[in-house]
Order: sequence, then C-alpha cells, then structure tokens
Amino acid sequence: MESFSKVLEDTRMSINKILILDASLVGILAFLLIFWILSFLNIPLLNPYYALVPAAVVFIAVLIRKFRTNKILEIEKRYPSMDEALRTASDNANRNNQVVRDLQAEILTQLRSVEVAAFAEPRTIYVQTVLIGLLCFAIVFSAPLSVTFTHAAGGILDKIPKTLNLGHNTDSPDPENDGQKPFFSNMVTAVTDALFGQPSVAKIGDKELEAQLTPQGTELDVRNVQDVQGRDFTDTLPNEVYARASEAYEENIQKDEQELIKNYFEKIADNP
Amino acid sequence: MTTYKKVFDDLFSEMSKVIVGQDEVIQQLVIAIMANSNALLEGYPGVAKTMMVKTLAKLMDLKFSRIQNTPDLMPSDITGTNIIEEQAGKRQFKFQPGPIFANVVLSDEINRATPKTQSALLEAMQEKQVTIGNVTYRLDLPFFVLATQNPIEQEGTYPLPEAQADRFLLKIKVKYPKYEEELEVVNRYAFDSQEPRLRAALSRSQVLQLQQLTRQVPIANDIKERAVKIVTTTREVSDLLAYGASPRASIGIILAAKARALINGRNYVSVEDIHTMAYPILRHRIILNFESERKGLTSDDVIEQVIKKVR
Repeated sequence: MESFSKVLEDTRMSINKILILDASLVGILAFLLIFWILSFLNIPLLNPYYALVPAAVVFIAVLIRKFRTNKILEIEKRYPSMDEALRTASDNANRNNQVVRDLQAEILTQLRSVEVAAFAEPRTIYVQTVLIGLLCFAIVFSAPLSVTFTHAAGGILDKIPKTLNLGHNTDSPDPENDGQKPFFSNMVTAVTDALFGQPSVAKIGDKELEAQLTPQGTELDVRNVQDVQGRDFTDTLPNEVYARASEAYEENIQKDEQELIKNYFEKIADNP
Repeated sequence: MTTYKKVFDDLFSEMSKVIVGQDEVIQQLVIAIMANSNALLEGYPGVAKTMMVKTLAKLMDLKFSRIQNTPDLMPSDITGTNIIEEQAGKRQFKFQPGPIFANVVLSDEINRATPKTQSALLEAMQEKQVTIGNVTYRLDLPFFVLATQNPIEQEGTYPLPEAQADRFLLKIKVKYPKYEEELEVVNRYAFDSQEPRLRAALSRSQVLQLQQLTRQVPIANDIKERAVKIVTTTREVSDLLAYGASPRASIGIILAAKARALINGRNYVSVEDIHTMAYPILRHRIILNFESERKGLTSDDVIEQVIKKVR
C-alpha cells in the first residue's frame, strides 16, 4: 500500500527533525560547557574555541544513537492504541491481502492523529535550554573576572614544559638546547616578575604608585607572543655621511666646554 | 475485523448454551479448526470433551463422525473398506467409506487403539486423504480430527509416540469446571431433558474462508522471532528438558497465534497470542528430563520458564 508507506516515511522524517533538534541542544550544551572549562583552565595552545570539536563529536554521537532508535516503537510507546499493530503493518507493508489492507487502513487513520510534538520531551528541552542560558551567563560573567584554574591544574601543566619549553621551571638551562634557556623562559619570567612580583605596587622613578590591573585593561595575550624577528644592519655608513666642526658651539656654551667640543669634532673629522 | 469477531462471538454464545464454562478450551478448539489442523484433548472422563466437539460440528454445519477407539479396532474400521456388492446379477467391489469421511472426526480415547490403527488415522489427518488398495480418496474439506485421551487408566493403552503426537497442532487440557459452573451444569442437565436449540453460526464455506483469512493475518517480525526463539529455547534448556520441540512447533505457534488474533477481532498477532498459544502447542512436543520429573515439574511449568527466559 503505497500511501501507507508514504505516510509512515513522512512520520519518520518528522520525528527525525525533532531528534536533530534534541541532538543540537545536547551539542550546544557540550560546546558551552567545554568552552567554559577551557577558559578556566587557560591551557597554552588550547584555544577555548577548540571546544567545537568535542561538541561536534557529542552531537554526532547523540544523533546516531537517536537515529538508530526504532521510530515505530517510539510511536507505539507514545500511542498505545497502535502498540504491536503499527510495527506489524510496517513489517508487512509489501504484502497485499484483505487483512493487511484492513490493518493498514486502521493504522493510517490513527497515524493522522500522531503529533510530532509528542516526540519532543518538554522537560528535557526545558532543562537543556535553562542550562544553555546559565552557561552563557556563566561564560559572560566569568570572562572579566579572569578566573583561572591554571594553578589548580598545575600537576598537568608541569608536564607540558618538558616538551614545549613553556610555563613553569623554565629558568633552568635546557640541556637539549646547548645549555641555553628556552626562548619562552625569559618572557614568562619577565611577565611573572612584573605581574606577580608585587601585586598592587608599581614603581616609577623613586615614587611608589598604587595601581590595580583589571582584566578589562589587560591586553596581553600569551598566545599572540611570537618569536623576535632578527633585523640586519649595515656595518658601514654611506659615503655622504661625515662630520665637521659646527659653528653651533658658539651658542650659550661656556668657553672651556666650547673648546672641548671643538676638539672632539676635529678628532672625528680626522679619523672617520 | 469486527464482522469476523461478531461471527466468532455468535459461535461462542451458541456454544455456551450447551457447554458451561470451558471458554479457553472452546476457543482453542476453534483455533485448531481455523488453523486447519487437529487437536488432542486431554481430560478426565465426564468433562464434556465429546459434547464440545459434537456441538462445535453442529454449529459449523459440518458433518460429524465419532470413532470409539478400542484395542481391537482395525484401520479399515476407520478408513473404510471395499465390500462386494451385487448389482444386476453382477458382483463388484464397492467402496464403503469409514467414519473418517466426515468434516469433524472425534476420535475418542485414541490411546486405546493399537499403533497400527492410530497410524491410519494420523496418516489421514496429515495427508487429508486415504488410500485403500490402489485407489486414493480425498477427504472432504474442511477436515479435522479432534482426538481425546484421558490421563488416567493407562493400563492396556498405547500412548501416542512423540512423532505421532507432534501431528496434533494443540494439546488441549480440559480441566474440571469450577464449583459455580458445575452447579450450573447440574441445573441445566439434571432437571431439564430438553436439548437446547442451536442454530449454525457458521457455514462450511465460511469456515473455509476463515481458514484462508487466518493465514493472511500479519505478524510483526520481532513477534515472529520471539515465537521461534521460544521453540528453539526448548532445545537449549537441557537442565529441564530431555527433548525440545520440532520446527513444526514454530509453524504451529504462529498459525495458532494468527487464529487467536482473528477470533479476538484483531488483524495482527500480539505477543500475548504467542505466549498464550505456546502452552497448548508445546506441551505435547517436549519431554521432561529426569531431574524435572523428580522435582515434580509439569510441561506447563517448563514452558512458563522458557517464556520467561525469552522475555
């Protein structure tokens, strides 16, 4: 019965749409949660946006699991009047006899009353939506605070510098690098000394200033630090560059000092 | 489907005019007929086994015959024989059909007949034909054998071998009626000698049509698999059974479940149909092992365990 198969397929497709929505919510939830955790941990080379990868994996896994569920059984579960009858009609859709036709006609009537909304679990969707909202707020509010669990995760991070030459304990010479300090060690130390040496005191000349660094004003991003680019300078000056005694020494310069300056320039002129 | 249900409801309603209670037994008898198969009724004497079958034949407007099995009953007493007949001064053989030539054959106390006679009967019910001499006679359709045996007085009987018993679709256990039902039996038959008036609820052609319809009842794949699993599991529970059921039981369980669905006005087989029909289908097809017998288990107990295992 072609129309029966078509109606059944349409119902399946509608249920699939709901399942995609459901899986999307789970995926978004996973993304926000992992993003939040990564922002907290502030692990070098691990951008919080990498949370997209596990979130995508979660989304696909949930989608596959939900797609694999027997839609017919799901309908039967929600519409007990079709229990066993729907799957029988579905399994025997290609048969054509009086009893099967009767069954399919009965099921078709009942399938028309099937509401796709019945397959969405309002409680789950509500909980997921609320959680997504809460996580969004958590991310937005925790960003300016710059709360970090880097130290809490120190045990893990201590192992990272051994391979990446980053982070803690980098002051010691690296035997694998001709006894030189790793490149990042100076930078990290400098940053550490400046920022964590004396939390709220900065010195300008001899004056002590009380200053407070807030995350809003902090633009230093360790991830943006790049290797210093070497620049070549020429050793010899161009020919037209030379020095000669100037008349300017007559200006407000004391007599003995004028003589000293004159001699200096004459020496330069003699020994270019 | 409601039309068919009404037909069966009418049938059961007419049956209840004669038989008090025994609803399940009557339903299983009708199931055997709808599945175009045969049934073995087992019960104590005096529980209306014969009356049930006789009434059913009457309500279906079918030709009924009865064979009272005894050890001296010969196969030809069942199938019929060629007799010499004189016509116009000329003697010739003429076939005299036996009681097997009916639509509903009640073979009373089948275990009292000798294996040879039992064999003749069983062959007829399997092939739906009898061969006498060189001539094969086809039996009139629909054709059912409803055999009875009682579980007591086993002396001098020839219990049906398992292979023969396997040919009966169902083994129906006829139990004693309940107290209230027995009181009603007494009221109905101890005071009034007048037989109730019955009207045929089904015609012969309708029976044939319903038999065809039974096979058309669809079954879901998972329910079909469950039925087969129940049967195959009987071969795996060696701790309970010495022998399990044959593949014929798988066919039987599906067919009987289909018939039950049709009788109940459903156009699909349910799991409940399978579970309900597993008992009469399997109880004569399994053989308990010594340990199960020692524990006092019955076939039905084991079937129940098998069903639970498959669930």
